[in-house]
Amino acid sequence: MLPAVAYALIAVSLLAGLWSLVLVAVNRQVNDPLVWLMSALELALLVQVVGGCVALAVTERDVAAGLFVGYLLTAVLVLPLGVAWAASEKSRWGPGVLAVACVATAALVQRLLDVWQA
Amino acid sequence: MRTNQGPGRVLVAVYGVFAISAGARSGFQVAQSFDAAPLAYSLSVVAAVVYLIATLSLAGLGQRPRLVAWTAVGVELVGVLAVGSLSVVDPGLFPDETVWSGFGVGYGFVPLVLPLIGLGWLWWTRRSYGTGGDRPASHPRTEQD
Repeated sequence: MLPAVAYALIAVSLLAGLWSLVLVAVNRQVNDPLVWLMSALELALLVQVVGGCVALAVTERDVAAGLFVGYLLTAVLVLPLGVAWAASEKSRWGPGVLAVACVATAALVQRLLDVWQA
Repeated sequence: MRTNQGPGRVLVAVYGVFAISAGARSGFQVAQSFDAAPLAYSLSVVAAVVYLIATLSLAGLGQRPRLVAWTAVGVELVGVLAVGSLSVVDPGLFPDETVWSGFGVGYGFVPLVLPLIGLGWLWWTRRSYGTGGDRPASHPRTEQD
């Protein structure tokens, strides 16, 4: 697993989270560019599951495998759950839910990196 | 007002994140090495269950969700205060971290602030039925939510 990739994922998650917060502040609905950004992020997280498992299989490091795979899978779940929960909220708080999901995703990827580098 | 609308939507999302992370963490701790820190790991399980119940009841699921939510968030506040204090006074009690040790310092103190916001939100939305409420006409029955 490449730390640079994880840092990029964290940066994009935080960017999407910040964007969502701006939408809350200016009282707007979720817009298409944000949906595309979050879709791309989710796709990258799915690729990370495959990449992470391959890296785990070939690495010489002593990584806590169960914990690592647990974080890989949880990181994939949070965004779709957040989008589903935000979808039926037609106020400014819809993007607020997305902000929570994005920040949580960033935290999960950070924890994933911690487990890998421990 | 329902607890799962407006700002409540965000609150439920935060609770959901904690339910998932505390649940996964405690499940892993118990499966991996329960004997290493039985008290800490048991408390992790309790915390995870409390977060799960709070999430579901604040989302309006189940029987009498408002009552369940008051109870779950109340237990959560007591839990984070008790475990937080104990972990500071006697760190030896908790050889491994729980969500609530050090008043949730490992999670940016969100576990300490969250129950206060939860109780505040339940209080704020308490007039959900009865006279002159904001219940839509399509839901005239006085079921509790």
